[in-house]
Amino acid sequence: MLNMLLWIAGFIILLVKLMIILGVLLFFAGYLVWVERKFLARLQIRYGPNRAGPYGLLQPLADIVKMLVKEDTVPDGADRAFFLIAPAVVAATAILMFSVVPFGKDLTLWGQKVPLVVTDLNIGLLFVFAMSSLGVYGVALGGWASNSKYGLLGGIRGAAQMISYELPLGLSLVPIVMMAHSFSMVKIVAAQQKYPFILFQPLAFMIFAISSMAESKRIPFDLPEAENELVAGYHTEYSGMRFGLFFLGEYVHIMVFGAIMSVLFLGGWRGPFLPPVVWLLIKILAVALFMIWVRGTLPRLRYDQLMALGWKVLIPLALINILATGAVGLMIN
Amino acid sequence: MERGVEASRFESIADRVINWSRKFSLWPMFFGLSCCFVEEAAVFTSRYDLARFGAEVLRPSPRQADLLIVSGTVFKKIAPVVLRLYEQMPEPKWVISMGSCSNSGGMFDVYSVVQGVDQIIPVDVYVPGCPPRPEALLEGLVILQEKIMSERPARRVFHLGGGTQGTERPVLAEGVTKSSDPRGPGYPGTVIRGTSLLPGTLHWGNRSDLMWTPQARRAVLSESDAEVAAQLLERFGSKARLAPQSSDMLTFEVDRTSLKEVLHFLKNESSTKYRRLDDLTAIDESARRDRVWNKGLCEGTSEVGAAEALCKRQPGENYSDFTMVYQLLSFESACRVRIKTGLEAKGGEKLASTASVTDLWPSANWYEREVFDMFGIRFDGHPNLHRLLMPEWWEGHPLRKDYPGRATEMAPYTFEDARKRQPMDGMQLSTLDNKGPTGDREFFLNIGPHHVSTHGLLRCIAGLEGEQIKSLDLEIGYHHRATEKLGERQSWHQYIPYTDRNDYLAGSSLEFSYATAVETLADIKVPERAQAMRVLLAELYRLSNHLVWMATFAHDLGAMTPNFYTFAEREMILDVIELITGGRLHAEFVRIGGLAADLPEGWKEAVDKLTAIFPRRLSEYEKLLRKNPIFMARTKGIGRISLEDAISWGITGPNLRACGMAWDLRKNMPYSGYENYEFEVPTATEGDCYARYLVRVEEMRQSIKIIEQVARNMPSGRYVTEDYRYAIPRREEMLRDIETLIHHFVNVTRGMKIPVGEAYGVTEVPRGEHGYYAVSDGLGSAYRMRVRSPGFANIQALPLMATGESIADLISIIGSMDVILPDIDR
Repeated sequence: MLNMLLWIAGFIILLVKLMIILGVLLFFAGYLVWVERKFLARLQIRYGPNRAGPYGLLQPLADIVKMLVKEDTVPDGADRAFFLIAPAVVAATAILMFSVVPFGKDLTLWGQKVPLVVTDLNIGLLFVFAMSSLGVYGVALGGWASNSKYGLLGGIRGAAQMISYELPLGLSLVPIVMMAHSFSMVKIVAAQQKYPFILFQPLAFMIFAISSMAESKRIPFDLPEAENELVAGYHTEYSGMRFGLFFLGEYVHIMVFGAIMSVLFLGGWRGPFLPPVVWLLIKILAVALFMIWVRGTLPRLRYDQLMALGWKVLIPLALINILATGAVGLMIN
Repeated sequence: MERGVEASRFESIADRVINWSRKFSLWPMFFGLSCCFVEEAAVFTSRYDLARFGAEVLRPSPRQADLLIVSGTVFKKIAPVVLRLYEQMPEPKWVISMGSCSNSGGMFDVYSVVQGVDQIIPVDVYVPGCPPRPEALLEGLVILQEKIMSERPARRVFHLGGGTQGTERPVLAEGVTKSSDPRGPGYPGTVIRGTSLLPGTLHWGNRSDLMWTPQARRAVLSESDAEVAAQLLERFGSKARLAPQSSDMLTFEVDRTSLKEVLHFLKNESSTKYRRLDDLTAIDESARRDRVWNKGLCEGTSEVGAAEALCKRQPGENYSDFTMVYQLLSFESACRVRIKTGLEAKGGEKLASTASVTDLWPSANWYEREVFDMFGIRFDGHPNLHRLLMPEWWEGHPLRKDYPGRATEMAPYTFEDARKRQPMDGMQLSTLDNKGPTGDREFFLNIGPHHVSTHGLLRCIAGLEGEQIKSLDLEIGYHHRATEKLGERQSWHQYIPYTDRNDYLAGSSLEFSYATAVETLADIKVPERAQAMRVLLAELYRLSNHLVWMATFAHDLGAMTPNFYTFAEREMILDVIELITGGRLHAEFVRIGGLAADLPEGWKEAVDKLTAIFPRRLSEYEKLLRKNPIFMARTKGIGRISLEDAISWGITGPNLRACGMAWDLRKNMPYSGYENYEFEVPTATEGDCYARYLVRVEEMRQSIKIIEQVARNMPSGRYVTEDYRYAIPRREEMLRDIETLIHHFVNVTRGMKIPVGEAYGVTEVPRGEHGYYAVSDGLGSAYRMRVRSPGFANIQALPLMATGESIADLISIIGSMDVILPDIDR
């Protein structure tokens, strides 16, 4: 009976956590768009949105409501089922990745230990990669199912790019796993009690940062949607909230990679004075602002250059980094 | 009852929420047709910042757009595309018609232009202006926001029936729900003057005969010209005759049969080798006033006034039906030669033909296709002779004299036309150009006619293998504004505004070319101050053009920020231009014989401020690109063209200089006092995108140097010639004596008369050599106005540069070439 009650309580706590995290995540993803528009505007000597609410703070609301009540078109000749499901795949996989990110120390509620993570999988990192790989389907299928040449080209580019950059992304993290002796995100944060890993693994951090920008399809790696070449790439044919989901997926992706970067390299929720959740948010925001800044500065790579960078530079570097980390580890122990 | 009240309360709240959201989330489509789009683009940049209204999210795909801003001229060839894009936008959607052309056809009442976009799609807000200033578009957006707030979308959104959202206005039909009669209502059945039924030129023409003018300018042959003339006469005897009179260059009349030999001789064997085909065009001579009495033509005309005018002609010169004009340029002696040859037409269809010169100059391909399109002259041996500018379904040849030029005289363009006349299938077109399919496994990708990075309405049909371009065919003519036909209708002064619009980023530079042509023809002396002022304006516009080029080039490569920086500087330049001329894009400030007004007070300070700030800012912005490894990877070695090819394809301007040739008209054939200024002609050798970038950036620095010198040494004196026969007199003088008042009256009302003759006037505009070839029959308007544009020649070489590269490179190449469509399609 008690077990039953505990199970129910645990389930309720999980649901509450899920709701809070989902709400907060979507809220921040929405406001990340606002941050991006404002920050880019400042980089470009402009004001940015400032009419919808004070400082344009209601801008994300306006955009979301508008997209929700916009006509949802499916082009003639599209593969209807895949076309409709693709945006959801992108958004859902991005959101799911967040479930293994710890955002604070364990909390004690009524004598119950409540871990501040949706689920502390012991293979947390692998889960992130698995989800990230599944996201490729959304892009590739969305582009292919649109029955549009631009969509198709965007989809192909997206698939190739995301699969290629999975590798350096994963390889760059092997040294972290080696240092933390665990795949669990919670344990990795714990391992950075004294110093954040960025101090030991700057190269891994760099590779990870570049690859995650490629994974979230941001300039200079936004080839799948490169508007100057492919109109809007894989989401050329999407309208209304389905397009909005692709958009949202991208921003959630930024948040997730920001979070993972903070967890793996920047000490996670650790930091002085402020509560852990706030620290995590600050770090995520810092990563996001960095990505926006990059977007405001750099041109776009070409497809073959992007591939060359991934396969000929980042992967070898990541492998060397693993070897070096192993060697140093052996020497110390 | 209560439930009804509840429901309506809910509805009204929902209405408000939805309207509010839509109002602040109007995403415009990345869509532009012509000049107005430049002002639309300015709205997004720092000074105007459309982002404040949440409307900066430009969507390149119609599926994601809420707002279609039809900015610019709607051409009959592009109208089906406009309609299709509109139909691809999901509900609800709104339309802003920006600028006079889109509103009503504006100043382009001419065969290729739809007289108002509201004939094919519904319009919510009209923004007047030509072009409207960015502020005007902002106001248009605010008006649209107000309109949205008055909608009742909730019932639609929840599928309850009723309610209103988006554009609900009907598409208008000419003659039924709208009228384009400029005289307003009440004149049905009364003929409009200036149409083919009551040609203005005939009336004015008769009056022109009352005015006396001196003969056209008589050019003195230089030594090298005389040598070439002697060689030609010796070699070809009576088959090549030196034209009795020429105002600008060595001119020869050649028999049709020996034309090709003469051209071959001039290109390869004569003492001065003319390696470039500068221009190739035709003149329809059938309406020459001093033509030998033409019985067939006279009897064929049913209309009384016209027939009378034709039949009364005195026997005079024996013109052929058509004249072909070839103009060549020699680099080593910096001179040109013009070869003319008469063609006789046969039958009622007026068929004429001559040999193609595509084997001598590959660039002749498009020139000959254009002549075929416009005059119906056939070229034997041409590889792919079909229409170039007009769509394939077009009937008639617009530049023939019996072709009425006005759109209002043709059947109105309707919604059904736009439905029916979709552009030709890409595969089909590629087959047409290549005389057979180019491999069946290719993947054809249409880039354009409307695409973010084609810089206007250009259509590239790329045959792809993966992302590599195996074949590239271009289709142009989507921006054909019939400037040449307009030149035959508008009086000499009235034509000036049309020249601006021929290259909407180069503004006064083109007025300058045009004025040069007319001044050469009539031998008008331009005062020194006016010359210097023209140089000042031309260089300011060069800066402004190159800044836009830099912005768009960077944008094409995915760098969004340089756009905003360079546009901020461009605003500063436009402020100076506005101070001097009162205009922004289209200054319309040059007049024949000088300028419209003197420099205003405070011009020097404004110019000095600009020259002090600009170089520093330029270096700052350049840091974003010049040494950026991604930028270099995207441009170095991409789109390479050799100097040899560049010359044989007739490439001019910075694109030619990037191949290693220091050829700049300002240096090599100086005009308007350019010889008095110290500046260099920057060159690069690689001929790739990066070289083109370096050359243009350096050109900006040189322009600043010239501006500095002009400002320092601005001569005093008159801003317009004293020869009031050809100029609009200065106001203070006009008010003082009766002679000047008469000149003012005549030149402003029916326009001045230019003596019989022809002349080519050319200047180095930002994009290369832009020339006007004006042929006068001694009337108040030109007999033939040929526009030789740099873009036409430059873009023709695009397939040569882009084949074998990838799609991304194609975009980079187009960006680096600085193309603009009105000067390609004219």
